[in-house]
Amino acid sequence: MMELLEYETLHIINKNPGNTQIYADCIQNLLEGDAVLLIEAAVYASCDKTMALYFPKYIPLYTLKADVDARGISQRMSDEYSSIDDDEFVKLCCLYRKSISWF
Amino acid sequence: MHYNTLLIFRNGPFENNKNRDCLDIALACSAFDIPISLLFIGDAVLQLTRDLESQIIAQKNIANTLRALEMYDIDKIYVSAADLSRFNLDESSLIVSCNILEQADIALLIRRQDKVINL
Amino acid sequence: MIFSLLIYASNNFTQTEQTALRFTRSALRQGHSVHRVFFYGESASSASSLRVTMRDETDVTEQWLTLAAAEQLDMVVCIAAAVRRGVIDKQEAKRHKKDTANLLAGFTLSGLGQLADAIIHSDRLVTFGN
Repeated sequence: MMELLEYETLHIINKNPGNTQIYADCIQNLLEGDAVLLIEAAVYASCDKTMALYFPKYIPLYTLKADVDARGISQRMSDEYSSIDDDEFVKLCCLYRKSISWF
Repeated sequence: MHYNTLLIFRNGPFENNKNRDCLDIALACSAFDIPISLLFIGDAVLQLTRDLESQIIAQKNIANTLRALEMYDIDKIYVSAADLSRFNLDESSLIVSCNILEQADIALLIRRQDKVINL
Repeated sequence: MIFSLLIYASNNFTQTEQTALRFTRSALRQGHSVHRVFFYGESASSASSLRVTMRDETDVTEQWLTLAAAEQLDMVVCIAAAVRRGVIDKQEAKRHKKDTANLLAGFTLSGLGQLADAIIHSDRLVTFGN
């Protein structure tokens, strides 16, 4: 039943990586064609060494720039993540067929 | 417009108002003929058990609303098999008839939707 | 593209409403339309005129109201969530026999049907919660 794998679901997480259940719930439901955007306190996951192990390699990972800068972690963000601004956040929501917020 | 809508329940009973808020959205959507599905994962599977006695702690029980879902033509109710077994529950423990899904099928259920509300 | 937002967040000491506000501004700036911003759960408290923002803090509600006025944003607060949290308009004040109403002008109290309507009439529903 897997139809065209286009831009399917944008998963938005806003809780810090200590909220392991939220990350587990999100990660278990990721499929090829999905992407993950970390906003607010979730941007800390981008510099948490254990996190990269859990997100599947084929999932594009984004962080929201304002939250990265506010927390001063842009230098420590892992390479797997691209930092995007608010306009690109809106663009991602247009590109992906739907979004799910995990909080 | 496409609006197959999934409501995801993730919270345990009496933990907060999220399950009730989510259920109220379901009823409103149903009044607008929006095709909806309900998914219970994690601690939220406990919300479906027969054994809740909310009056003991003076809390509201949403069991009656859950039982009434059928009358609103809300019959697509899905429950995580893994989370049921985690709490030693099975279909016979539940107050509504549900489709019990393995994790891979939960991901596919989510994929099929046009809108998802996940409180 | 037509967006609607569901806000389900306390605006006390959380940045969630601020994120939603920036998202809305950006969507409008890029020429998208925002069909409705629906305030549910704790976020209903945001529509109270009795809240006081400390001098060194940002009043996010004020910013919503300014944006709403400029862009004709439809900002709806779930009526059930609102009355439970002591946010009432004149009609609800009468119904519940309260001697005052405190809903900020710029917000409307209405039922969850307005969220259902937003689901039907929007290409994208984005939830901002905590």
